[in-house]
Amino acid sequence: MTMATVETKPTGTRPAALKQTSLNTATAIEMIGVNKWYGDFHVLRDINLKVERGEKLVICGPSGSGKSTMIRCINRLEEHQKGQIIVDGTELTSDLKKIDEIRRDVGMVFQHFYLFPHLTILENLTLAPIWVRNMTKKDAEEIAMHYLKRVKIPEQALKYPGQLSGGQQQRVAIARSLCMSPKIMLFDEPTSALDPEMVKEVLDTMVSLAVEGMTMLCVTHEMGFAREVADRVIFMDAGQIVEMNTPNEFFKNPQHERTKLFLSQILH
Amino acid sequence: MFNDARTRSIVIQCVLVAAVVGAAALLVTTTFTNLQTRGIPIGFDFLSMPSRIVISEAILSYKSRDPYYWAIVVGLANTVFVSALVIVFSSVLGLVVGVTRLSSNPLAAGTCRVWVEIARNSPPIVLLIFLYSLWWKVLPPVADALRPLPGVFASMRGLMVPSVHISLATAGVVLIIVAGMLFLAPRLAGSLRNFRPALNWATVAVLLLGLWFADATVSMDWPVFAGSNFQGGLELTPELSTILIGLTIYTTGFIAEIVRGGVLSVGSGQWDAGRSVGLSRSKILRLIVIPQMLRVIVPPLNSQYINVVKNSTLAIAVGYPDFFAVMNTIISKSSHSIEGVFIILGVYLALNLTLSSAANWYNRRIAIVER
Repeated sequence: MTMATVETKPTGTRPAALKQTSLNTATAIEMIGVNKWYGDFHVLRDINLKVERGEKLVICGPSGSGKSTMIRCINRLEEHQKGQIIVDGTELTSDLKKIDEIRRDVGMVFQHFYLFPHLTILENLTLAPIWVRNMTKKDAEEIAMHYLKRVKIPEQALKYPGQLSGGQQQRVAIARSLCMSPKIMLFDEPTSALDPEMVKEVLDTMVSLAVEGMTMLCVTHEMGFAREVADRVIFMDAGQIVEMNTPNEFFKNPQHERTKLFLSQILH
Repeated sequence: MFNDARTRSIVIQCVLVAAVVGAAALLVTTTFTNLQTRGIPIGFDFLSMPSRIVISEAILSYKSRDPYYWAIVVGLANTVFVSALVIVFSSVLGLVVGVTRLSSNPLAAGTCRVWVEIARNSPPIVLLIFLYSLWWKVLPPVADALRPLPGVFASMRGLMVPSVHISLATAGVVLIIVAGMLFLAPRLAGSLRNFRPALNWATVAVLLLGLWFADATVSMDWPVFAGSNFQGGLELTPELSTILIGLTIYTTGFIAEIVRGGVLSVGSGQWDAGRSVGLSRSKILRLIVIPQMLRVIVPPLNSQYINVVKNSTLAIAVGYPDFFAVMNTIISKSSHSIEGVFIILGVYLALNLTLSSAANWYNRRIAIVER
């Protein structure tokens, strides 16, 4: 894993000549001039972002700034209307087959966990390996138990999501994504819906994932986590990437007024 | 003392019970004396006498020499037959129509919407009489019968469809094996939710093996036009076809709306989660949304099933001899109207309570486990 090139130019549009599909396999995600509207509302404005393999990005910003929408575009839970998004060398178009391929390799963890409440924890974890990767039930369960041990709750395997605490549910959600052996993990405010005493257990799981070299994009306001694991911190406001820097520079020396204001509001 | 809450409530309840019992007793004794003075017999003895009524079609064998009670059973069998078929057809169609209404294809969604609106907004009896009139107004005489599908003929005399002949032994074996798989397999496999294709193939294999051992005879009988009428196949009279098709169209409209509500009741987060692990739309629907939706829709679905049983009494309007039509004939023939009405009420109550308890059992079984 290499330390990321620091790109401080926030919203600059690239020259047309550079808008080509990257063949560089060291690039995990590339977003070029991405724009998205909800009706008249311009949610994403000219997003340019390049994420190297193994890089960890933390994305922060006020609510409604487009953070979640941006990472939801990466596995096409949201469609972008302009620009290019290239994930793992494949460009996201309306080609359903490619979308399914990308989704298989991109894990996502949601603010509200979204476990399947009618299935046991084990069944939650084996569902996609069985039905998407065509694994046998036995193999899928073996993998599921491996990841349940990793998130330190193997004893809950036969319970239902409703019987677990929030922190445990979120760890199951992380394990559910890991069971598909993703190349990239997206986290959409994974600790925002948790009681304070459960935040740490989820963050610890995420840190251990980062240490192993997973490519991670985390929308979060856990600045301690950002300092500890992020290669770059991105600040978004009004659908734009306002500032992008190493955590050290970002926290010590924010360049933009909006970043300074935001940091002063969340760091007491 | 009357100001004491407990005493007061006891007194009020005693007075209420006395009033109800008194009124009922008055009603019964007056009826009895009136019937006796007019020389009308009362009691259920008539049930074992020969009925001498005609039942135009029945799924059980019936002759007019048979006693009244058998006529009642035959009518009841017709009602159960019609209700069961309508429930099965409209559940399947309702699932398809309800899910299709949410499709992004405007033509498919629009067609389903038209179906739902027509079905929900027309009185069922109008729908039935309209459909019944179509047999004579639209369909050709039997010699020029339409052939919409191979082996299916539609004419003024009704629908002819291929029939499957299964020997009694075969039917028994199939029933035993299917029941066995349904009740034992989940216990063996841990739970019904673990049904995987492999297990389904195993079911089929066991079934075929069982049939082979039972020396099964299953044969198709195709209807063939011979001279003046059809030979072979299964004949669905215009009356039976009308009540089946009409009630199915009608009930499907309601079930489709229940299904649509059910699908929408499962939050968009479940779809996001399913998509994010790479499941296709149809698999998300089948593995994630429908199992969760069932918990929501079983109670309103049960109400629709009960409505099917009740609406099957409209068969009388198109001349199909269901239980209610048969009871009407029996009452006018035997003049045992009070007993007849009690039988009617009792039977529909029993049918619908059975349906409800089955639905409640199922609902408890699939309830989501919470802390």
